[in-house]
Amino acid sequence: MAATTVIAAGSVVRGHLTGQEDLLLQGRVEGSVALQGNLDIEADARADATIEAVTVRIQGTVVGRVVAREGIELSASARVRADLVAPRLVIAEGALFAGAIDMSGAPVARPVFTAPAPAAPAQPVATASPVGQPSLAPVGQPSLALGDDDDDPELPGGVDAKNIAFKKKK
Amino acid sequence: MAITHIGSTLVIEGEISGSDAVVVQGRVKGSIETSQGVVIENSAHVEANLTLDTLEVAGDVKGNVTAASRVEIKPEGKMVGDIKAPRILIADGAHFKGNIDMDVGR
Repeated sequence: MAATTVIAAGSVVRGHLTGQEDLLLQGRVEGSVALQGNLDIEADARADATIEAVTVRIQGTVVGRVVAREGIELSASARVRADLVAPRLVIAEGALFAGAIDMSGAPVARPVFTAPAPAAPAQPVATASPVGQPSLAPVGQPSLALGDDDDDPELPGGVDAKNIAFKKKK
Repeated sequence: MAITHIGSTLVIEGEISGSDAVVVQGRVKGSIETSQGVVIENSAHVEANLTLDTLEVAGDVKGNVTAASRVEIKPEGKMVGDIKAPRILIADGAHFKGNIDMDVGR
């Protein structure tokens, strides 16, 4: 079982830190951290660092860059000025954050159009033709083409235009 | 009393400093500076200058040590470097190469 490294509240580590285990940070780190494990940054802890880990939970202060293979969580007490890269991200109410977020690098490539897809059945006309629901199945397809196939005879052109506008926004 | 614990898979290149006791199971290259004790465990490899209160060596240490009170090299410990400390223990079986200065603070 992987051990856990603890950097206690009165300790400062400057330099490069790598490992295959979890790290609990209560003190300070300046430099870089690369872990094949989870990083937990406690409320009074501070990291001025480039961080790579599986999951990163932040309750303290982080300045730099955080790359997590699975997820990043900013708790209410977190103060973060950093770029975040992770497939999953939680920012709790009360957390202070400034920086860029990139969630596109998910290990499992997710279909880009998952957000527009649920909007299609929300159209009121969908009740008229339940055939409209298969629009969920070909997820990767642009919803515009689907709308044309199914609903063109019944829909006024205005709805199509709305559909296009929505797509462009995304 | 808080303890900074460097686990067995961890590698630190740089410096550790502060006011906590430090236990090293992994690798440290650079320096360790603390007002408390430091324990270098069996699995540890430390290539660093050490400034501390007490030192216990059961692993590999290369570097110079300045201890405010005590240095102990355990039977399984290996140490290469100079030691400055008022009290020094070298156990039967321990390896040591370097200079010893026990005149600290006198």
